[in-house]
Amino acid sequence: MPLFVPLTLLTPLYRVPSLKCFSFELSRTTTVACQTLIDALRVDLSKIEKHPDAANLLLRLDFEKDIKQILLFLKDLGIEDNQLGTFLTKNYAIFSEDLENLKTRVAYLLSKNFSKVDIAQMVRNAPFLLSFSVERLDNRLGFFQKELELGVKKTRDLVIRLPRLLTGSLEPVKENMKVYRLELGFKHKEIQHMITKIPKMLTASKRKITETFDYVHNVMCIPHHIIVKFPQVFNSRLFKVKERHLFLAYLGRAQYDPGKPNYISLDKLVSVPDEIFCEEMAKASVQDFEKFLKTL
Amino acid sequence: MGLDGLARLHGLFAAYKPPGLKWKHLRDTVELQLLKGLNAGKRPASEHRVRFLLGPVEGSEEKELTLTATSVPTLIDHPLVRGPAFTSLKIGMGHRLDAQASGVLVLGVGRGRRLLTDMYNAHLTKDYTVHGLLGKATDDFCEDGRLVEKTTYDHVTREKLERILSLIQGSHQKALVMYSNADLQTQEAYEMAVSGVLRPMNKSPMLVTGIRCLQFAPPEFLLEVQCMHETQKQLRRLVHEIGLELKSTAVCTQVRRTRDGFFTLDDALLRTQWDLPSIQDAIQSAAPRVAAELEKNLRPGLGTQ
Repeated sequence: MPLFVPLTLLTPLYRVPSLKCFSFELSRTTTVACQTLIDALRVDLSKIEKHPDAANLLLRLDFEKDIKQILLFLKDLGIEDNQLGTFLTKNYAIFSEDLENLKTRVAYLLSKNFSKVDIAQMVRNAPFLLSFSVERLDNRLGFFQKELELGVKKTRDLVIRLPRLLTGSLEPVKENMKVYRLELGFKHKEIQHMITKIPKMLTASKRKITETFDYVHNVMCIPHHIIVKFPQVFNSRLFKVKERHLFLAYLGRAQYDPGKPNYISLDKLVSVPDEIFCEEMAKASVQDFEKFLKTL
Repeated sequence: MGLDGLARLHGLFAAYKPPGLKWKHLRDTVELQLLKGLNAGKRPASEHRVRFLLGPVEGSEEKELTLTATSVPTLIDHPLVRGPAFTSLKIGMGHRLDAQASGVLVLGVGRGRRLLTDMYNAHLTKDYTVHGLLGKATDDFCEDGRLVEKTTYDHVTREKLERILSLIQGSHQKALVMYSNADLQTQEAYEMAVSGVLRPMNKSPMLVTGIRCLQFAPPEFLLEVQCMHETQKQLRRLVHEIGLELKSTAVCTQVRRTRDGFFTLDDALLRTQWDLPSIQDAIQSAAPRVAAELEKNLRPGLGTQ
């Protein structure tokens, strides 16, 4: 049975190559588990060792008993070899879970008409999903169904697109729904439409949403029904919207009314890169845009 | 890149701070982008250790396992165990700009931070463009502050404004001479004053070395100010006082620094240019100019003590 050195001794020694004692120790002493984790699965141990209990957990693992079963289970689920690394970097605690529990949770999701491919995608994007008990997952799904009133299939699609909704806290979602309805004055149907297009709006920060809406509605004078058509504006950085709007206003091309000529759509305003924005919408060169930015 | 990228990252460069961004956030963003660029480079090769591994010996008919000496890379140098090569960079800040102001902001990386102190001790002047708005007064002299007073401004003309500005410049010129502790009877001090080089080389209150009106379209007006030892709040207070002198009121809508010492708007890097290659190029191109100017300014005989 080889001896092993606790991972917490691996202090970052990058700039001090003369301290060879640690590397010498580690060269003779690694567990099979750690070796496989690093070489075969490309798990990032430097991130895991920042958590205080992780080192103890990982060193007590026995390859045959714990790791192998769970790795085979995850591969069965549909997670590829190269994706296992990022998964385990986030959720290394899955090794301490019971295999039976994991299987029950997957069976529960299958019973709710999530397909195997969908479950694999959800687990990949939200690694902590399988660490939640069945009751907790049930509560979360029920909450989203009641709160958003979207209907079963749309709720399912929403959760598949953003599985973080199931693993994150529910308070920000409740808060954001209130903000959209009461502070910003969107109707329920409009909120539903925006959320199906951009699910990230549910978990965005309240300050960012209010600031973006304040600028888009009051300064750029864009009414509610046009904002509903292009909710991407809530996903983008505010300074980008401000800079581009001010440049267009300076050139006299800030036309956001679809009925009038030279109309500029909000989603193109925020999503296109600088060169295309300057060429097509502002009809100016990138150097002019940079000169303008230096006058702000 | 990696280590030789870091070797070229010592010196001063200027960034353009947009309005609404705190100077600390700017410093942190620049640090993150530089670290991203440095970590993307090649890591130096990892160390190898000689280990005795059990394995079948090739070319022999026996099936026994024997110890053979092989050189294997040590685990401690593996990127997934050590983490990224660079985790922090030392970046210093020149004269600060508050959140609502914008303009040229000087940053120093690595050994360049020492040059920041030299630049501070050189007591160079800075150029600002200040936009003012006649007709109202607020408590923090900005447009979005709490409104204190509203006045008419029809009686304000360009000549009145320029008269006030020349009064201000005159009084600050007197203060300049006083704070620079120079005896104007000596030939040396007289020559320096004539050439415009005379200035205080230690702490002093805000001194305006030059102020003029670039545009006047009531209620808005645009001033160009050259000053030293200032804060942006004092510049806004100056606009407020100009309004009071004009028997009206004024607030300041925009403060923009166009020159900080020898860094101008052309040298300033925009937000899209805050990455490793552009910053390295900016440092390289600014280095000879920085060295020449600092040497000129720190020569003895300037600013009599």
